[in-house]
Amino acid sequence: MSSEQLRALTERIEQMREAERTRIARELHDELGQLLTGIKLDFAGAVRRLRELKPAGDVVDRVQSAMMQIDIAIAMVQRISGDLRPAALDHRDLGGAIEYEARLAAARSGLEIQVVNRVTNSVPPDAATAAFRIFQEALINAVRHARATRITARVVTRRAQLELYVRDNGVGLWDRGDSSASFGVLGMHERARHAGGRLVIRGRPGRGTLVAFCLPLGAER
Amino acid sequence: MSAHTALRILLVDDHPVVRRGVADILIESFARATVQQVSCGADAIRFTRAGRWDLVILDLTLPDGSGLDVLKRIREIEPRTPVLILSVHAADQFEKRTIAAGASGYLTKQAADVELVTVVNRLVRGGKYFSAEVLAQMAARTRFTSDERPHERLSDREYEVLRQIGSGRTVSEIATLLTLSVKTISTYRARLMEKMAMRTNAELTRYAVSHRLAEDE
Repeated sequence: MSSEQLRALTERIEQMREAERTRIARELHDELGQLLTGIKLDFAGAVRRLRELKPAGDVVDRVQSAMMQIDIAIAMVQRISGDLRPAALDHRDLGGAIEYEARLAAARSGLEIQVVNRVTNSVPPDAATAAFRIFQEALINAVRHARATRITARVVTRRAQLELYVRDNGVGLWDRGDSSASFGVLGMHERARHAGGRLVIRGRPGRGTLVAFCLPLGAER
Repeated sequence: MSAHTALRILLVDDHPVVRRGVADILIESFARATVQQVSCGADAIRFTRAGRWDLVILDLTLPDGSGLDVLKRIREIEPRTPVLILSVHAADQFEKRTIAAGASGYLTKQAADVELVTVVNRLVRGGKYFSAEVLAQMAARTRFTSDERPHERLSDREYEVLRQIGSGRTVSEIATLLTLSVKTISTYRARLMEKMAMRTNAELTRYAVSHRLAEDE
Protein backbone atom coordinates (compact mmCIF):
# COMPACT_ATOMS: atom_id res chain seq x y z
CA MET A 1 0.00 0.00 0.00
CA SER A 2 1.41 3.39 -0.93
CA SER A 3 1.58 6.13 1.67
CA GLU A 4 -0.96 8.07 -0.40
CA GLN A 5 -3.41 5.16 -0.14
CA LEU A 6 -2.68 4.76 3.53
CA ARG A 7 -3.43 8.40 4.06
CA ALA A 8 -6.71 8.14 2.14
CA LEU A 9 -7.68 5.10 4.19
CA THR A 10 -6.94 6.86 7.49
CA GLU A 11 -9.01 9.81 6.35
CA ARG A 12 -11.89 7.57 5.44
CA ILE A 13 -11.79 5.71 8.77
CA GLU A 14 -11.66 8.98 10.66
CA GLN A 15 -14.67 10.29 8.73
CA MET A 16 -16.67 7.15 9.43
CA ARG A 17 -15.78 7.30 13.09
CA GLU A 18 -16.99 10.88 13.34
CA ALA A 19 -20.21 10.11 11.49
CA GLU A 20 -20.86 7.18 13.80
CA ARG A 21 -20.16 9.22 16.92
CA THR A 22 -22.51 11.92 15.65
CA ARG A 23 -25.28 9.45 15.00
CA ILE A 24 -24.96 7.58 18.30
CA ALA A 25 -24.65 10.78 20.32
CA ARG A 26 -27.72 12.24 18.66
CA GLU A 27 -29.83 9.11 19.03
CA LEU A 28 -28.86 8.72 22.65
CA HIS A 29 -29.49 12.32 23.50
CA ASP A 30 -32.47 13.18 21.32
CA GLU A 31 -34.31 9.87 21.30
CA LEU A 32 -33.48 8.09 24.55
CA GLY A 33 -33.04 11.36 26.45
CA GLN A 34 -36.40 12.76 25.32
CA LEU A 35 -38.12 9.46 26.04
CA LEU A 36 -36.76 9.36 29.58
CA THR A 37 -37.76 12.98 30.07
CA GLY A 38 -41.27 12.20 28.89
CA ILE A 39 -41.49 9.31 31.35
CA LYS A 40 -40.32 11.57 34.13
CA LEU A 41 -42.96 14.19 33.31
CA ASP A 42 -45.60 11.45 33.28
CA PHE A 43 -44.51 10.34 36.74
CA ALA A 44 -44.57 13.94 37.90
CA GLY A 45 -48.20 14.18 36.77
CA ALA A 46 -48.96 10.94 38.59
CA VAL A 47 -47.39 12.25 41.80
CA ARG A 48 -49.49 15.42 41.65
CA ARG A 49 -52.65 13.35 41.29
CA LEU A 50 -51.60 10.85 43.96
CA ARG A 51 -51.00 13.65 46.44
CA GLU A 52 -54.59 14.79 46.01
CA LEU A 53 -55.79 11.25 46.70
CA LYS A 54 -53.61 11.04 49.83
CA PRO A 55 -52.78 7.35 49.45
CA ALA A 56 -51.72 5.24 52.42
CA GLY A 57 -48.20 3.84 52.67
CA ASP A 58 -45.18 4.95 50.72
CA VAL A 59 -46.63 5.03 47.19
CA VAL A 60 -45.67 8.66 46.60
CA ASP A 61 -42.18 8.02 47.94
CA ARG A 62 -41.75 5.05 45.62
CA VAL A 63 -42.78 7.02 42.55
CA GLN A 64 -40.49 9.86 43.52
CA SER A 65 -37.66 7.42 43.96
CA ALA A 66 -38.34 6.16 40.42
CA MET A 67 -38.20 9.75 39.18
CA MET A 68 -34.80 10.19 40.75
CA GLN A 69 -33.55 7.05 39.05
CA ILE A 70 -34.76 8.54 35.78
CA ASP A 71 -32.79 11.72 36.54
CA ILE A 72 -29.70 9.54 36.85
CA ALA A 73 -30.43 7.79 33.58
CA ILE A 74 -30.85 11.17 31.85
CA ALA A 75 -27.60 12.46 33.32
CA MET A 76 -25.81 9.33 32.11
CA VAL A 77 -27.23 9.70 28.62
CA GLN A 78 -25.95 13.28 28.62
CA ARG A 79 -22.53 12.30 29.86
CA ILE A 80 -22.09 9.51 27.34
CA SER A 81 -23.37 11.50 24.37
CA GLY A 82 -21.35 14.57 25.39
CA ASP A 83 -18.21 12.41 25.57
CA LEU A 84 -18.89 11.14 22.06
CA ARG A 85 -19.57 14.54 20.56
CA PRO A 86 -20.88 17.71 22.21
CA ALA A 87 -24.28 18.70 20.87
CA ALA A 88 -23.15 22.31 20.41
CA LEU A 89 -21.07 21.16 17.43
CA ASP A 90 -24.24 20.11 15.64
CA HIS A 91 -25.85 23.46 16.37
CA ARG A 92 -23.07 25.31 14.59
CA ASP A 93 -21.57 26.50 17.86
CA LEU A 94 -17.87 25.71 17.76
CA GLY A 95 -17.09 28.20 20.52
CA GLY A 96 -19.73 26.65 22.76
CA ALA A 97 -18.41 23.15 22.12
CA ILE A 98 -14.89 24.25 23.03
CA GLU A 99 -16.10 25.94 26.22
CA TYR A 100 -18.04 22.80 27.13
CA GLU A 101 -14.98 20.61 26.63
CA ALA A 102 -12.80 23.05 28.58
CA ARG A 103 -15.23 23.01 31.49
CA LEU A 104 -15.24 19.20 31.58
CA ALA A 105 -11.48 18.97 31.28
CA ALA A 106 -10.97 21.53 34.04
CA ALA A 107 -13.31 19.64 36.34
CA ARG A 108 -11.66 16.32 35.53
CA SER A 109 -8.03 17.34 35.81
CA GLY A 110 -8.02 20.35 38.10
CA LEU A 111 -6.32 22.35 35.34
CA GLU A 112 -7.01 26.00 34.88
CA ILE A 113 -8.30 26.53 31.37
CA GLN A 114 -9.14 29.90 29.95
CA VAL A 115 -11.13 30.17 26.76
CA VAL A 116 -11.52 33.26 24.63
CA ASN A 117 -14.38 32.64 22.27
CA ARG A 118 -14.70 35.09 19.41
CA VAL A 119 -16.35 32.99 16.79
CA THR A 120 -18.56 35.39 14.91
CA ASN A 121 -18.76 33.87 11.44
CA SER A 122 -20.64 30.70 10.80
CA VAL A 123 -18.23 27.77 10.72
CA PRO A 124 -19.09 24.85 8.41
CA PRO A 125 -19.59 21.51 10.20
CA ASP A 126 -16.44 19.80 8.89
CA ALA A 127 -14.25 22.74 9.80
CA ALA A 128 -15.83 22.92 13.27
CA THR A 129 -15.27 19.21 13.82
CA ALA A 130 -11.62 19.45 12.78
CA ALA A 131 -10.98 22.41 15.07
CA PHE A 132 -12.79 20.78 17.97
CA ARG A 133 -10.91 17.48 17.71
CA ILE A 134 -7.59 19.33 17.41
CA PHE A 135 -8.49 21.28 20.54
CA GLN A 136 -9.36 18.06 22.38
CA GLU A 137 -6.09 16.42 21.37
CA ALA A 138 -4.13 19.52 22.43
CA LEU A 139 -5.79 19.36 25.86
CA ILE A 140 -4.99 15.67 26.23
CA ASN A 141 -1.37 16.24 25.28
CA ALA A 142 -1.02 19.22 27.59
CA VAL A 143 -2.33 17.21 30.54
CA ARG A 144 -0.84 13.83 29.82
CA HIS A 145 2.50 14.58 28.22
CA ALA A 146 3.41 18.12 29.16
CA ARG A 147 2.16 18.07 32.77
CA ALA A 148 0.76 21.56 32.24
CA THR A 149 -1.23 23.32 34.96
CA ARG A 150 -2.63 26.16 32.89
CA ILE A 151 -4.02 26.31 29.37
CA THR A 152 -5.16 29.31 27.41
CA ALA A 153 -7.23 28.75 24.30
CA ARG A 154 -8.41 31.31 21.81
CA VAL A 155 -10.79 30.57 18.99
CA VAL A 156 -11.62 33.36 16.56
CA THR A 157 -13.02 33.94 13.14
CA ARG A 158 -11.26 36.75 11.35
CA ARG A 159 -12.14 37.76 7.81
CA ALA A 160 -12.74 34.42 6.10
CA GLN A 161 -10.48 32.45 8.41
CA LEU A 162 -10.87 30.32 11.49
CA GLU A 163 -8.01 30.43 13.97
CA LEU A 164 -7.47 28.29 17.03
CA TYR A 165 -4.62 28.74 19.48
CA VAL A 166 -3.95 26.52 22.46
CA ARG A 167 -1.10 27.45 24.72
CA ASP A 168 0.03 25.48 27.76
CA ASN A 169 2.63 26.07 30.45
CA GLY A 170 3.99 22.52 30.49
CA VAL A 171 7.43 21.08 29.83
CA GLY A 172 7.21 21.83 26.10
CA LEU A 173 7.88 19.68 23.07
CA TRP A 174 5.26 17.06 23.80
CA ASP A 175 5.52 15.90 20.21
CA ARG A 176 8.88 14.24 20.80
CA GLY A 177 9.78 10.94 22.32
CA ASP A 178 6.57 9.54 23.71
CA SER A 179 4.95 7.42 21.01
CA SER A 180 1.33 7.92 22.14
CA ALA A 181 2.00 11.66 22.02
CA SER A 182 3.45 11.41 18.54
CA PHE A 183 0.44 9.47 17.31
CA GLY A 184 -1.75 12.20 18.73
CA VAL A 185 0.32 14.84 16.98
CA LEU A 186 0.28 12.90 13.72
CA GLY A 187 -3.50 12.67 13.97
CA MET A 188 -3.78 16.41 14.54
CA HIS A 189 -1.65 17.14 11.47
CA GLU A 190 -3.64 14.73 9.34
CA ARG A 191 -6.90 16.27 10.50
CA ALA A 192 -5.68 19.78 9.75
CA ARG A 193 -4.45 18.75 6.32
CA HIS A 194 -7.68 16.99 5.47
CA ALA A 195 -9.76 20.00 6.49
CA GLY A 196 -7.61 22.15 4.23
CA GLY A 197 -5.98 24.07 7.06
CA ARG A 198 -2.54 24.58 8.54
CA LEU A 199 -1.31 23.35 11.91
CA VAL A 200 1.82 24.48 13.69
CA ILE A 201 2.94 23.01 16.99
CA ARG A 202 5.80 24.80 18.64
CA GLY A 203 7.24 23.74 21.96
CA ARG A 204 10.23 24.96 23.87
CA PRO A 205 11.71 22.99 26.75
CA GLY A 206 10.40 24.38 30.00
CA ARG A 207 8.41 27.10 28.28
CA GLY A 208 5.28 25.35 27.20
CA THR A 209 3.73 24.53 23.88
CA LEU A 210 1.67 26.49 21.41
CA VAL A 211 -0.70 24.84 18.98
CA ALA A 212 -1.90 27.06 16.16
CA PHE A 213 -4.50 25.97 13.65
CA CYS A 214 -5.65 28.17 10.78
CA LEU A 215 -8.31 27.30 8.29
CA PRO A 216 -9.64 29.39 5.41
CA LEU A 217 -13.43 29.20 5.71
CA GLY A 218 -14.11 29.50 2.02
CA ALA A 219 -12.09 26.38 1.29
CA GLU A 220 -14.47 23.86 2.80
CA ARG A 221 -14.19 20.55 1.01
CA MET B 1 -50.54 40.20 33.78
CA SER B 2 -52.74 38.77 36.50
CA ALA B 3 -52.89 35.07 37.24
CA HIS B 4 -56.54 35.08 36.21
CA THR B 5 -55.96 36.18 32.66
CA ALA B 6 -56.25 33.29 30.24
CA LEU B 7 -52.72 32.69 29.05
CA ARG B 8 -52.10 31.84 25.42
CA ILE B 9 -49.07 29.62 25.07
CA LEU B 10 -47.50 28.20 21.94
CA LEU B 11 -45.68 24.96 22.71
CA VAL B 12 -43.16 23.76 20.12
CA ASP B 13 -41.72 20.27 20.60
CA ASP B 14 -41.56 17.24 18.35
CA HIS B 15 -41.84 14.69 21.15
CA PRO B 16 -45.49 13.93 21.91
CA VAL B 17 -44.75 12.52 25.38
CA VAL B 18 -42.85 15.62 26.42
CA ARG B 19 -45.49 17.89 24.90
CA ARG B 20 -48.24 16.15 26.81
CA GLY B 21 -46.31 16.31 30.08
CA VAL B 22 -45.60 20.03 29.66
CA ALA B 23 -49.14 20.85 28.52
CA ASP B 24 -50.50 18.96 31.56
CA ILE B 25 -48.46 21.06 33.95
CA LEU B 26 -49.51 24.28 32.24
CA ILE B 27 -53.21 23.45 32.13
CA GLU B 28 -53.27 22.26 35.74
CA SER B 29 -51.49 25.36 36.98
CA PHE B 30 -52.94 28.15 34.86
CA ALA B 31 -56.69 28.36 34.86
CA ARG B 32 -58.17 28.78 31.38
CA ALA B 33 -54.77 28.66 29.71
CA THR B 34 -54.75 27.82 26.02
CA VAL B 35 -51.84 25.63 24.97
CA GLN B 36 -51.38 25.29 21.25
CA GLN B 37 -49.07 22.38 20.48
CA VAL B 38 -46.99 22.22 17.32
CA SER B 39 -44.19 19.84 16.41
CA CYS B 40 -41.88 21.63 13.99
CA GLY B 41 -40.19 24.94 13.32
CA ALA B 42 -42.25 25.75 10.23
CA ASP B 43 -45.49 25.45 12.22
CA ALA B 44 -44.00 27.47 15.05
CA ILE B 45 -43.35 30.33 12.65
CA ARG B 46 -46.76 29.96 10.99
CA PHE B 47 -48.57 30.09 14.36
CA THR B 48 -46.45 33.00 15.55
CA ARG B 49 -47.56 34.95 12.47
CA ALA B 50 -51.20 33.90 12.77
CA GLY B 51 -51.92 34.56 16.44
CA ARG B 52 -50.94 36.53 19.49
CA TRP B 53 -49.13 34.58 22.19
CA ASP B 54 -48.22 35.47 25.73
CA LEU B 55 -45.38 32.99 25.62
CA VAL B 56 -43.67 30.63 23.21
CA ILE B 57 -42.08 27.50 24.68
CA LEU B 58 -39.55 26.20 22.22
CA ASP B 59 -37.44 23.05 21.97
CA LEU B 60 -33.90 23.36 20.60
CA THR B 61 -33.92 20.20 18.52
CA LEU B 62 -36.65 20.16 15.90
CA PRO B 63 -37.15 17.85 12.93
CA ASP B 64 -36.77 20.71 10.45
CA GLY B 65 -33.72 22.34 11.93
CA SER B 66 -32.29 24.06 14.97
CA GLY B 67 -34.60 25.74 17.44
CA LEU B 68 -32.09 28.60 17.55
CA ASP B 69 -33.00 29.54 13.98
CA VAL B 70 -36.69 29.37 14.83
CA LEU B 71 -36.01 31.56 17.87
CA LYS B 72 -34.41 34.21 15.67
CA ARG B 73 -37.35 34.14 13.24
CA ILE B 74 -39.87 34.47 16.07
CA ARG B 75 -37.95 37.44 17.45
CA GLU B 76 -38.15 39.10 14.02
CA ILE B 77 -41.88 38.48 13.68
CA GLU B 78 -42.93 39.19 17.27
CA PRO B 79 -40.07 40.89 19.11
CA ARG B 80 -42.19 41.41 22.23
CA THR B 81 -43.33 37.82 22.75
CA PRO B 82 -41.14 36.12 25.34
CA VAL B 83 -39.60 32.82 24.27
CA LEU B 84 -38.66 30.14 26.78
CA ILE B 85 -36.21 27.53 25.56
CA LEU B 86 -37.12 24.12 26.97
CA SER B 87 -34.45 21.63 26.10
CA VAL B 88 -33.03 18.25 27.05
CA HIS B 89 -29.62 19.83 26.73
CA ALA B 90 -27.99 20.85 29.97
CA ALA B 91 -27.89 24.62 30.31
CA ASP B 92 -24.10 24.82 30.24
CA GLN B 93 -23.98 23.98 26.54
CA PHE B 94 -26.64 26.21 25.10
CA GLU B 95 -27.77 28.86 27.52
CA LYS B 96 -25.35 31.53 26.32
CA ARG B 97 -26.25 31.06 22.69
CA THR B 98 -29.95 31.32 23.45
CA ILE B 99 -29.47 34.51 25.46
CA ALA B 100 -27.59 35.99 22.51
CA ALA B 101 -30.38 34.91 20.16
CA GLY B 102 -32.96 36.75 22.26
CA ALA B 103 -34.60 34.11 24.45
CA SER B 104 -36.11 35.20 27.75
CA GLY B 105 -35.29 32.02 29.60
CA TYR B 106 -33.70 28.59 29.49
CA LEU B 107 -35.06 25.55 31.29
CA THR B 108 -34.10 21.91 30.99
CA LYS B 109 -36.93 19.48 30.49
CA GLN B 110 -35.81 17.42 33.45
CA ALA B 111 -36.44 20.39 35.71
CA ALA B 112 -39.80 21.23 34.12
CA ASP B 113 -41.90 19.36 36.69
CA VAL B 114 -40.49 21.52 39.50
CA GLU B 115 -39.65 24.82 37.82
CA LEU B 116 -41.93 25.37 34.85
CA VAL B 117 -44.74 27.19 36.64
CA THR B 118 -42.36 29.65 38.33
CA VAL B 119 -40.57 30.31 35.07
CA VAL B 120 -43.77 30.85 33.06
CA ASN B 121 -45.05 33.25 35.70
CA ARG B 122 -41.86 35.22 35.56
CA LEU B 123 -41.62 35.36 31.76
CA VAL B 124 -45.20 36.43 31.06
CA ARG B 125 -44.57 39.35 33.43
CA GLY B 126 -41.61 40.43 31.34
CA GLY B 127 -38.93 38.79 33.50
CA LYS B 128 -35.98 36.62 32.53
CA TYR B 129 -34.86 33.22 33.69
CA PHE B 130 -31.23 32.19 33.32
CA SER B 131 -28.73 30.62 35.67
CA ALA B 132 -26.60 33.09 37.57
CA GLU B 133 -23.50 31.18 36.57
CA VAL B 134 -24.10 31.66 32.87
CA LEU B 135 -24.95 35.34 33.25
CA ALA B 136 -21.65 35.81 35.04
CA GLN B 137 -19.89 34.09 32.17
CA MET B 138 -21.41 36.30 29.52
CA ALA B 139 -18.11 38.07 29.06
CA ALA B 140 -16.26 36.72 26.04
CA ARG B 141 -13.40 35.54 28.22
CA THR B 142 -14.27 32.47 30.21
CA ARG B 143 -12.08 30.87 32.80
CA PHE B 144 -12.57 27.29 33.86
CA THR B 145 -10.74 26.23 36.95
CA SER B 146 -10.96 23.62 39.62
CA ASP B 147 -13.62 25.91 41.08
CA GLU B 148 -15.68 23.94 38.61
CA ARG B 149 -15.71 21.33 41.36
CA PRO B 150 -17.99 23.09 43.84
CA HIS B 151 -18.57 19.81 45.66
CA GLU B 152 -15.13 20.29 47.17
CA ARG B 153 -16.55 23.17 49.16
CA LEU B 154 -19.04 20.90 50.90
CA SER B 155 -18.73 19.55 54.38
CA ASP B 156 -18.30 15.78 54.72
CA ARG B 157 -21.95 15.32 55.64
CA GLU B 158 -23.18 17.49 52.78
CA TYR B 159 -20.92 15.62 50.39
CA GLU B 160 -22.26 12.29 51.62
CA VAL B 161 -25.83 13.48 51.06
CA LEU B 162 -24.91 14.66 47.55
CA ARG B 163 -23.45 11.26 46.71
CA GLN B 164 -26.53 9.50 48.01
CA ILE B 165 -28.76 11.73 45.90
CA GLY B 166 -26.52 10.92 42.96
CA SER B 167 -27.18 7.25 43.63
CA GLY B 168 -30.89 7.85 43.30
CA ARG B 169 -31.86 7.67 46.97
CA THR B 170 -34.72 9.71 48.37
CA VAL B 171 -34.35 11.94 51.38
CA SER B 172 -36.08 9.40 53.63
CA GLU B 173 -33.89 6.57 52.35
CA ILE B 174 -30.78 8.64 53.03
CA ALA B 175 -32.08 9.44 56.50
CA THR B 176 -32.50 5.75 57.26
CA LEU B 177 -29.11 4.91 55.83
CA LEU B 178 -27.24 7.55 57.80
CA THR B 179 -29.48 7.14 60.89
CA LEU B 180 -30.42 10.78 60.88
CA SER B 181 -33.83 12.42 60.76
CA VAL B 182 -35.51 13.31 57.48
CA LYS B 183 -35.48 16.92 58.61
CA THR B 184 -31.72 16.90 59.11
CA ILE B 185 -31.13 15.40 55.67
CA SER B 186 -33.45 17.98 54.12
CA THR B 187 -31.43 20.70 55.79
CA TYR B 188 -28.16 19.28 54.47
CA ARG B 189 -29.72 19.03 51.04
CA ALA B 190 -30.93 22.64 51.09
CA ARG B 191 -27.55 23.83 52.28
CA LEU B 192 -25.56 21.93 49.69
CA MET B 193 -27.87 23.10 46.93
CA GLU B 194 -27.27 26.64 48.00
CA LYS B 195 -23.51 26.17 48.18
CA MET B 196 -23.50 24.67 44.72
CA ALA B 197 -25.92 27.24 43.31
CA MET B 198 -28.33 24.59 42.09
CA ARG B 199 -32.06 24.81 41.86
CA THR B 200 -33.39 21.30 41.42
CA ASN B 201 -32.74 17.71 42.34
CA ALA B 202 -32.28 16.95 38.65
CA GLU B 203 -29.42 19.45 38.48
CA LEU B 204 -27.81 17.91 41.55
CA THR B 205 -28.13 14.44 40.07
CA ARG B 206 -26.63 15.55 36.79
CA TYR B 207 -23.73 17.08 38.64
CA ALA B 208 -23.11 13.95 40.71
CA VAL B 209 -23.27 11.69 37.64
CA SER B 210 -21.12 13.85 35.38
CA HIS B 211 -18.46 14.13 38.08
CA ARG B 212 -18.82 10.43 38.86
CA LEU B 213 -19.36 11.14 42.54
CA ALA B 214 -21.69 8.22 43.16
CA GLU B 215 -19.14 5.76 41.84
CA ASP B 216 -16.23 6.22 44.21
CA GLU B 217 -17.79 4.10 46.92
